[in-house]
Amino acid sequence: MSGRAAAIVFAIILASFVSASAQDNPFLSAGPKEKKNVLELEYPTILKKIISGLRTFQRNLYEKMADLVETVQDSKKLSIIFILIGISFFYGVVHALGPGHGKSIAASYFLSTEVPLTRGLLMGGLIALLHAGSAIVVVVTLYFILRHSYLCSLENINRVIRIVSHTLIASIGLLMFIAAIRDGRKKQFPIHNGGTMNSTKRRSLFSVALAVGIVPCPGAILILLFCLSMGILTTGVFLVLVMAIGMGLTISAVGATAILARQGFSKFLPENSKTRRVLLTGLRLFGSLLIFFIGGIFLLGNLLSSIG
Amino acid sequence: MMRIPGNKKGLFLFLLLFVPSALQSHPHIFIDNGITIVFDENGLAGFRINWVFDKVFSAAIINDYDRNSDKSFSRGEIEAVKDGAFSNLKNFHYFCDIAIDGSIFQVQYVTDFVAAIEQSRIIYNFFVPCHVRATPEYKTVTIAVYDATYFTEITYEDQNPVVIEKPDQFECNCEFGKNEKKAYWGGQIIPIEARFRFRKRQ
Repeated sequence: MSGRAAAIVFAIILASFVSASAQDNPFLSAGPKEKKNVLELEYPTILKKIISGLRTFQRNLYEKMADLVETVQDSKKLSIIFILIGISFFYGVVHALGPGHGKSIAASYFLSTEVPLTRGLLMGGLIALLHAGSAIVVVVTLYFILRHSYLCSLENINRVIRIVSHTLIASIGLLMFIAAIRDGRKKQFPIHNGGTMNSTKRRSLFSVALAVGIVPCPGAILILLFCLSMGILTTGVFLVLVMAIGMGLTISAVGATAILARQGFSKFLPENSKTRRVLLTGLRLFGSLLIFFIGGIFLLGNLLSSIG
Repeated sequence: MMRIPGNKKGLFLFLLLFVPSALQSHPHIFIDNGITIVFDENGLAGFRINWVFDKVFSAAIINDYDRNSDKSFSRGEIEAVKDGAFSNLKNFHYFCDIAIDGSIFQVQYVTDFVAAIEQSRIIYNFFVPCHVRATPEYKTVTIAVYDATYFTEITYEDQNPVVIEKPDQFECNCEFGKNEKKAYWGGQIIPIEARFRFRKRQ
């Protein structure tokens, strides 16, 4: 790979981490005090067009969903409820393409660790469910405690949860990195085990999903607040769960792509060779370092904004 | 159609895992923006900005600040909205990117803030003071309103996105369009800018 290509790869990965930190609401008194530094890159025209189209599509879905929620409040027509379910699902799919939602972590994890494809799908679903569930728990709890002043309280609670989440992510990344070094030094490094799950892998997969998923989804929070204001909280909870299925599909697709990419890479490496051992160890180290840096960068950003 | 060389397919696939995050495809607040360019007897006085918010964010603000649930904001409630859900924008120069003859004018404060509820949507209206004395020579001012964090997507009202309020003693012509030089977020978002020049009528 040429130096220029390597620089672009590095810049895009770095941008994906740094940009995802801009989740604070600038309007709120509890919000950020300055624009976070985001690595500005000029993306290829084709990508700009795709994402611009997705953005418009998402906004249309969002507005349509708001209109239909209002309609459902007035009339409980079954046909409208079905349309609303469909829109919530697609909204979830598109919404999860945005920053956050654990895609970079899931991708890094699956690049680093060999697991069966089904585990990738499971992890995506788990992250999405936790992500939406966390939003439901936070909003409903605040509703019964405060009744008002949600937005600032939510912003503060979100910040604390994010700090916990990013600390966990960075710690998991570090532990994975240490384990990779330890295993790399062993002469009988288990370079290929067919992607079977052992208890360590299972534990680390669930830990990663939990660390990432506990951050409430901002999109889900707004939908819940909207339904709350209409007095149809149960409908809101249901829609957010449907939305989680859509989000799960997107995160799972990213996870599955990483698993397939790893499998494809490892297929071309000769069995029981030194090259295979070195490259797979390298991939493992790289993936765990990515997880560590994602957690670390976010943690630092959140701590700095809390101090500021 | 874009062609990817065989040996770069792996790299492309790998990058796809990260690119969606980098491209930030989801703002959480949507605003329809309107700008009124206001002149006084000396020249440019500033800009009156009008924001109409999407229904979802509006509902959250109404729920938090319309304490008596009468679907309107009292004076006290407007103050609460200002403190809780507007004043922090000072840190973002109220999303206003203004230049006078090419020199940046950073908005430090705004006046006359009013919040209202109309058809389930909240509306913010405020004035951005920006005094530029008119002379016989043309002066050029630009204003673009956008949230560089992209938490908010700001589009313009379909009808009359820019209105000019001026006495007859000034000449003023205004253009309105995208300024690619101000593109942000990987060049995806191109802010729409009002560019106008004015002078004392000869």
